[in-house]
Amino acid sequence: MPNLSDTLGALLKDIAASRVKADLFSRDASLEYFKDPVLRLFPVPRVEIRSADLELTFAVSAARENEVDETQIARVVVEQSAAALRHSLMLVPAKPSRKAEQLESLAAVLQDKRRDVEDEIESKLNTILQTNAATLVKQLTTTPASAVKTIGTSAQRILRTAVKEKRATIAFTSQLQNEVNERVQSWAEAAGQAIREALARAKAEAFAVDLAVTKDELLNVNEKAIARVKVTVEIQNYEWVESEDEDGRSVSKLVAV
Amino acid sequence: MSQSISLQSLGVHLLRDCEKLRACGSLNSRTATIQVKEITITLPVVAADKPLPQTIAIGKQEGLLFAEALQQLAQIKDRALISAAEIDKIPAESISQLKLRLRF
Repeated sequence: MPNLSDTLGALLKDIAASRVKADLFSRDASLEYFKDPVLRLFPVPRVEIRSADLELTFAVSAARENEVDETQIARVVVEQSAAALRHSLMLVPAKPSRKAEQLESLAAVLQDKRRDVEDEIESKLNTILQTNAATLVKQLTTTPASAVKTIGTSAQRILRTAVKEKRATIAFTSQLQNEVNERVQSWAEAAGQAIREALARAKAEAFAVDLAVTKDELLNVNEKAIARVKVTVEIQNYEWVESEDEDGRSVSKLVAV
Repeated sequence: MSQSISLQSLGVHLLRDCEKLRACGSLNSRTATIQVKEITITLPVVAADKPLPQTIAIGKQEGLLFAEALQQLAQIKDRALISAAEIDKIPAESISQLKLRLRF
């Protein structure tokens, strides 16, 4: 079944093609005028289509709207972006000890504990998703800041546990906590945007409208059920102009007039 | 069996279709010859209960960009019958016109 853009696009293409045909006719006519001593004094006729209005009647034959499992779609997006969060958190600047002056990435400070911490972050995110997916999705799509509270607090708890249980040497400073929160915030905003886009795509795919556009299809449609679409278009004219490129070579360009 | 459709989904669907049409004319701007300036869609619908909003006008000249238009459409919670076969069974006075106007 055609959609509106396909149907109208085909008609608009025909308008452009008609303009081309008119110009080709003018070209042939101009040559004939040139050959004739009298016609040569006359202007060559040329059809100029500057704009066009197109009105199409159609009817909706059927419309389908399938259910979209928003939580499931969001869950997939979050799962796919979990690696980005892990990676971002591992780059948080951290001190190996309170006395240390040099900051290193969390990954460098954690050394062989890194994998365990990454796994725990992922596991915690999965737990949140499994137990409270709907709330997390709502937070991510509407108020990412509140998701920071949920995930940021968990991330900090995981790091603290890693320090304690695995005896990783790391100074848990307020700066580190702020960095963790900022990175979770950036991730939450990006994840929220990705979820909104995925939902919009899914909803668009779940919705379909079949149109009747041909005369035969519209023959038995009651007038009160007829829909209309009006399109106003302008035809953009271009002409070839000669110019020089950076090396002084002559080039031909199409320029809008 | 009558099947009502979310006006929000319908609006978004039509909006995306119009945007697709406009984009086709704008692709490879040097070769494009047709510029879509305005699209107006008038679609008979039978809204579930409430009257329909006024014309949904979209476009730079309307002070509403595409993304904002999607947000505006997201506010519409009504559902409506839109298929010709269903509208055919409804008395004319119960039919509303959904009007969507886009200016580029």
